[in-house]
Amino acid sequence: MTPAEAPVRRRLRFGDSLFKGSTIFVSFGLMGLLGAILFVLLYFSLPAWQKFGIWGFLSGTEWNGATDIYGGLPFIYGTLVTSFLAIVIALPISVGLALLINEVRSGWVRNPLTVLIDLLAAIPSVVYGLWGIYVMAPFLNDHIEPILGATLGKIPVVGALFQPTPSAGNMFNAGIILAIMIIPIITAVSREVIAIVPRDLREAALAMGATRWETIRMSVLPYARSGIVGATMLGLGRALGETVAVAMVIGNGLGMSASLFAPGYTIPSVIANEFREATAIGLHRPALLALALVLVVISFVLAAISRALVGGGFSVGLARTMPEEPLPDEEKVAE
Amino acid sequence: MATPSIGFLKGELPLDDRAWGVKGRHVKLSKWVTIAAVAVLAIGALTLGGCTKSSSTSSGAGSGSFQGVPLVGAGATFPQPVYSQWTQAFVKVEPNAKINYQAIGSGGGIQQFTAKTVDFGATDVPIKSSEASAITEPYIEFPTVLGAVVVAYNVPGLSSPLKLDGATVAGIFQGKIKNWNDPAIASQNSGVTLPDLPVQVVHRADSSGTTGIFTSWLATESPEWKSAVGSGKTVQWPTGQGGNGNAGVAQAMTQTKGSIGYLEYQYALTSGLGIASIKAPDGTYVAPSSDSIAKAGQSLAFPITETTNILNSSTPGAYPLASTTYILVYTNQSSQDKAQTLVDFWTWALTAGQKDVSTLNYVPLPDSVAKDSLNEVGKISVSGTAVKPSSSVQ
Repeated sequence: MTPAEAPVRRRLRFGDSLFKGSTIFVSFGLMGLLGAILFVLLYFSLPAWQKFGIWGFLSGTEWNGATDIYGGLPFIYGTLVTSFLAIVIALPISVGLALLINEVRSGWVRNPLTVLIDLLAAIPSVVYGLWGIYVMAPFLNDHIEPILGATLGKIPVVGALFQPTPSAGNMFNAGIILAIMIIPIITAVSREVIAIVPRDLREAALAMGATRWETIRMSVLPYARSGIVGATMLGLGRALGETVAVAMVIGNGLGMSASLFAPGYTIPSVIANEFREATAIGLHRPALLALALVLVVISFVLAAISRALVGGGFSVGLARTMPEEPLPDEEKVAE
Repeated sequence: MATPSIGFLKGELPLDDRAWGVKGRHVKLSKWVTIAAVAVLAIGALTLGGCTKSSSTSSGAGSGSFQGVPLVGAGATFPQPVYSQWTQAFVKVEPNAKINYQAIGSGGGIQQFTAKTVDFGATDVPIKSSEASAITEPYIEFPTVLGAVVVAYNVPGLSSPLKLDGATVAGIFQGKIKNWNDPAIASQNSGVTLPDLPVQVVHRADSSGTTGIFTSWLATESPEWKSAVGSGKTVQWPTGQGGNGNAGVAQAMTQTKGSIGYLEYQYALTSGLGIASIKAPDGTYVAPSSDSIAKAGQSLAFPITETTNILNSSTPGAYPLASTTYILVYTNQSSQDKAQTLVDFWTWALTAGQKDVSTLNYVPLPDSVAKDSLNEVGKISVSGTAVKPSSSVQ
């Protein structure tokens, strides 16, 4: 072995061992914290799971403090519907914004837009909630709801989603507010991901005579797709957990109506509304904690899906667009 | 060589990189100026804060009398405006008695009282036996002020207030009566043109004594309501949207046309919603007012049990949905100062404080009831010795 190839062992200096020790402590601490949260949720919600059964609780529609019967379906439904609506609205807008920021050469457009997006992300949720209650909800209820009800509401199957109701708080308003809150997050991450797309890919497409939109469609989006999916999952995580803003505009009603304009209820809202008087006697508190556990599980499932989609890394997009060619090492070995 | 510091102060930009990179005087200068400015501001703020603090404690009752200590209470949202008025006025009597009242709902108030995290609890509905069994020590429960639950609505263009009876209200809140021009409503309101407007029910999303009072009344008025929904601080509402607290319900109602909901009298008046007259047991329709609520309050009798209420009072002209609100205090207090402040505050509230509640549209307790409440307050003791009110509140 030459001296250059001998394994090198360096004596760690004090600063290095301190750094190593503290990072190990923090990482194990984080895992411990996550474990503690899951344990506490599971332990204190156990009476509810035992009484109603897993399937019974997840599919139960009654939430009655007087008879001590609790079911989580209305809240799971409300959470998923509002978050899904938020993603459906936010995703095209965010990706479009991210593309715009990257494609436009002029700093006049790009820089203010970037700053504004970051400012939107910094506004606290309760401020969104107040603005939503006093400004956005009346506007949507008075102007948008009748229009949507009169147009989309008339289509045979889809129309059931858009039946207008007199309620001021409804799932549609909650979905819109959530969309506004998650657009900055998705845009910020997508912007970074799209900026990383190599110029070679774009230039290859342009050299073949593609228009700007075709370039984006053929080389930018497939390359950035997994990153955009990751950004969407980040936004979805925020939408699932949003408590105050949603509780203010969603109407807090237990009925699971097909119409988006009917009141709904999400898991974070019911926990925020009811935790104060959820006594340890009876099943109220275990039921609320069981709902919290369900929310955590939903978040985990979505995180796992996003890891699976993003885990392929950039090479997933790359392999689609680059032609097959032998790697240099293989050529040498073959010789 | 240019002297960056002077040029910087004059507003010139340096022309070469060396100026920015030099750890020269201008970097230190701006840094020190900033530090000095922040220090001056901080000292100024502390001084001003210190001045105002000392000036507020120097005024007030004579230095020899009991100054009071801070207290914390929590519970019903119904009496919050009154308690807020009282706590602000009481600070002038005992300057250190800064009483913090958190309106988290009657259920929350009983919960916190049981857990002993507050000095007193407040509830609109008397403690139930199931809740009382969790309380290990003796306590007193006494009413403080009268109010009413009001059926409010947001229907524009009506020529006069609506008249409703219990069965109709139960039908509306069950979702059976879906439109404002329904015959059940129209038959009681012959002179009024009712619009073709869908009814939207608004109820409470949180646990509430107001809900408890309203649903107990509905349960006595409609057997169908009693079996289908029942009564309590939280019930499973068959229809409608929920607001958080009286304020949340009022806000949801002002935004929803065609809405109907139940609110405390004070909140309904300040939100500008329409208020319905309710049919009393003798067949007349009574609108809520200080007079009709006071008439209902006369039937409030001690001792307070879990079924005590002043609903459907037989006194003629009494409002059927009148209510009162209770305070819970442990009789055996451990801290002399806290016990003295509690006794002083509630004695003051039950005597001098009753005079000003009408400015907030609440109704003072009848004299006999106030006397009984004062007797209850007299049971508060420390180590077996009853705590007497200070001279400043007698």
